[in-house]
Amino acid sequence: MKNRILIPLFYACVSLFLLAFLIYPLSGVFARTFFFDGRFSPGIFGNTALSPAVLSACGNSFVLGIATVVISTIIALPLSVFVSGYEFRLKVIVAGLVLVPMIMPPFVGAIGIQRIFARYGLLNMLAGTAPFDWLGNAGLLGVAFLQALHLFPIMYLNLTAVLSNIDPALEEAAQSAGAGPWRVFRDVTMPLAMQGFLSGAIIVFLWSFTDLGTPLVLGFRQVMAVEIFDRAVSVNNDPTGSAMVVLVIAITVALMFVFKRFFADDLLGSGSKGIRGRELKTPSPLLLCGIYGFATAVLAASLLPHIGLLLTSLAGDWFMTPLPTQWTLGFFSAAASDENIARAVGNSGLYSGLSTMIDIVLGVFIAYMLLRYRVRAGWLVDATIMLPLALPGIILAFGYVATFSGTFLDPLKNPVPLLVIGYAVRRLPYCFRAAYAGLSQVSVEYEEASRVCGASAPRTVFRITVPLIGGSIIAGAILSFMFAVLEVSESMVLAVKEQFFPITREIYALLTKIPDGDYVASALGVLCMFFLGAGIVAASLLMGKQLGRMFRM
Amino acid sequence: MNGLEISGVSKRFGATVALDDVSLTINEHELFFLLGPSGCGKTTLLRCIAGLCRPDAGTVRFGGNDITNTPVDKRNMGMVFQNYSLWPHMTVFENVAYGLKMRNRAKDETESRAFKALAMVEMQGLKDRKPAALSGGQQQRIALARALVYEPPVVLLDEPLSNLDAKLRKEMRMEIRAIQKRLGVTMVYVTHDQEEASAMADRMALLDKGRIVQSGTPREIYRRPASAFAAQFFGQANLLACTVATVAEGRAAIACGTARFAVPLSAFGATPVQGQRATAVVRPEDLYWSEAGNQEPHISGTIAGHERSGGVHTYTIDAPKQQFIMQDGTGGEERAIGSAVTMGIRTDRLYFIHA
Repeated sequence: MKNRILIPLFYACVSLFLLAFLIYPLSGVFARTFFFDGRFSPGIFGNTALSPAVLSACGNSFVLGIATVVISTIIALPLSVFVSGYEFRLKVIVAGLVLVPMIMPPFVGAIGIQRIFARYGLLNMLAGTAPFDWLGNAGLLGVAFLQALHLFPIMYLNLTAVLSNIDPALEEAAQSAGAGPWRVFRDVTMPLAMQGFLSGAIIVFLWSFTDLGTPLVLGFRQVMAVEIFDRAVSVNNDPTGSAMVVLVIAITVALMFVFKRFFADDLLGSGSKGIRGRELKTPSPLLLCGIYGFATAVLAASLLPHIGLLLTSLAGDWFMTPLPTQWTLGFFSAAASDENIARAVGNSGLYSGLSTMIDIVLGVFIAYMLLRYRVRAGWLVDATIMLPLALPGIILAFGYVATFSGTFLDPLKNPVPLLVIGYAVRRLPYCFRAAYAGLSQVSVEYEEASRVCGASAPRTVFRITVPLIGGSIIAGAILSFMFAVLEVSESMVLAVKEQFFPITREIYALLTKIPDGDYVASALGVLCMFFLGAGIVAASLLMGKQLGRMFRM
Repeated sequence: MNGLEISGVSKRFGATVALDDVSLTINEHELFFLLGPSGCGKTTLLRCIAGLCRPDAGTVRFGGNDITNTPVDKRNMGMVFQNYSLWPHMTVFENVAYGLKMRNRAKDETESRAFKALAMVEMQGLKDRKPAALSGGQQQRIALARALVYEPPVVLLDEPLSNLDAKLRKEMRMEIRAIQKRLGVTMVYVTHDQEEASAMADRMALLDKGRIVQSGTPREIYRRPASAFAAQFFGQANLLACTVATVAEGRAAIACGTARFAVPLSAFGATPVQGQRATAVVRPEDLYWSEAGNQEPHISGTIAGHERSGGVHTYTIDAPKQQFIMQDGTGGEERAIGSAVTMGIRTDRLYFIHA
């Protein structure tokens, strides 16, 4: 009956989509790594992986990832404890603003950072330390710090979700057994929160491990992402680039496997029921000052690039002074009246809109099948969907070019189908995780009750399931859409002709235009930022604490 | 006949056998109980009847028709879930009216029937509330109204009272039974609470490890339990090891320790054979205070524990070979813990099961 149609349909859909557009393009990379002149030659991979340059880049990337996890935890933990444990007036605002640093318009983000940290930038001019080179001297720790300022919201979301899900009775039981606040935290809270923490930590780690932008801007080039980028131009001929990509994939998969195998038992259960809500404490005036002070400091630091970008876009004249000496809205009006920009905005809307629709349909369908039908090999499907979250975009993009050139999907002729699919593959984790989180919170009995009342399966999905998880679906869709608009690698590699440029590619093109291209690009970046910032705040309001479930394995 | 017939139903979940060749008949208009310890398969059986779970083998028939493969939404049954499962995004009224909407009833009919159902459970005043704003007892009533509103011939209840406090539970017992009798609906009711079953059931089945141990009226199962498990799960029981000394003229002579007494053959499920071992089921109220040196079969021991509920005293008594539970409902004086006592056995009320 239903199972006989649905389950084969599920496998067909999933395998077609993931095999054709994720696994198969990646297999080209593997082929180039392990086959030379048609012969199996594993030596290339071995030699590359063990070469001193790669080993040191790999080591640097590891240290960088761990440093980023540590710094973002130091930033996120106090915020999570405040938001999950205390009631204060501006909580909704703090909880929403904390997410904004995740949004960084590509390329122009670097302009913002330079405006602040350059030899004659805001910081040096204010502090009188010019011409100290902050960026050139940042080193690995500077990269980690900037990454943490960008990624700590992921950690914050995970920690907040897990902290507010802990049954307060468990902590009270420890208190009544005689444990002081620190012992309660160490013996009960921390072990229960560990899974959520690790879940966020692995994403932050992999994100930092494969991040290209920050090391490039800070000129710290001895990391895996930059090494791969440097060889990417010749990826087709130089097998060492492919070998490094394979190494990164192997490390990613190994980490995900270790995590799933040893740490993924969710102690708190997914559908916590019958648990009393947390009683939120009212902070003392001193603590309240601390909360606002800490939040303001974190936001001020993490929004520095955004502020620099905003100042640039408004600057009529800004040279060797802390702040611009003349202000103008001219770049915004230039951006608004530019035909190319209008077309790029339209293109981005179209590509991202279509890819988001694919993500909603697939994400909800797959999550439903995994949770409600407990299909076989569900864990494999889950892991495969989540893989792109840790996959540098450039790998998939070059995979597409190599795989689909000369076919009916040839990106040189018309990149739209591949752009849409590429966006969809890389943003599917958000829609999927959101739907999965929503569904696992909704007791299957609600659906059973509807079926017993005489509703058919499709009617039950539309009248009971979808309304109950609607907030999660919308939030997932907003995130998918936002990150699709911000997508860089595929847009750069696949959209070659100007008529197909999405916003990110257009920003890049603007940067080279004389005389004021970078100012117009900044204005466009600022518009992006506000638009996407509103999106993420909306997603956070819709999903509440559940938002954290989207950024975990 | 619009009864339910379950024959040869089996269900496994991986290596666990949830139901093992279960056969059962539930009559029309009956309040039928499925009773057993947790994990015995009673909920799985209920879900097989509802269509929420497909048996690996066997058939479910309703009114003579095989419904084993009928989808759950086409079975026209009502169900009350243990956690009520009221849809949190709908009001009380929308929850109750849902089944009528699914049957495409006219709007005014839907309204009047939903109101009637709400009135039946005395919840008319709360129709615009969301389920989260209701107490457990109120949610329970709404869940019942939702299951009854489209007048299904069969209503299934999965431990509907287990989340309520003791007082409310007793009230709801009476109410559910009264509604069931008034509407004449067939109800299948799952519980692990033997008191609930004995208070409410017309008939019942006792399940253990996926099998039906015994089915019948509560009185039958209490007085003539089919096994030691049945005797001990349904009510309290003292089990005495005995031997059948002789069988003659419609009576069996029983040897139990040093005591010798005769019982009618009707005290056995199957005709006993001379020399056979048997276990006597002695209910706590089948013991009475006696005097030492009495000629009748008796047991001597010391009182180890005491509990009072209303006018009934329940004692645990340590005898040389085993512990006994004794119930004194005569309104007699309370006996002190530690005092030596002698109890007689009402041999005419004994029932024997194969040892």
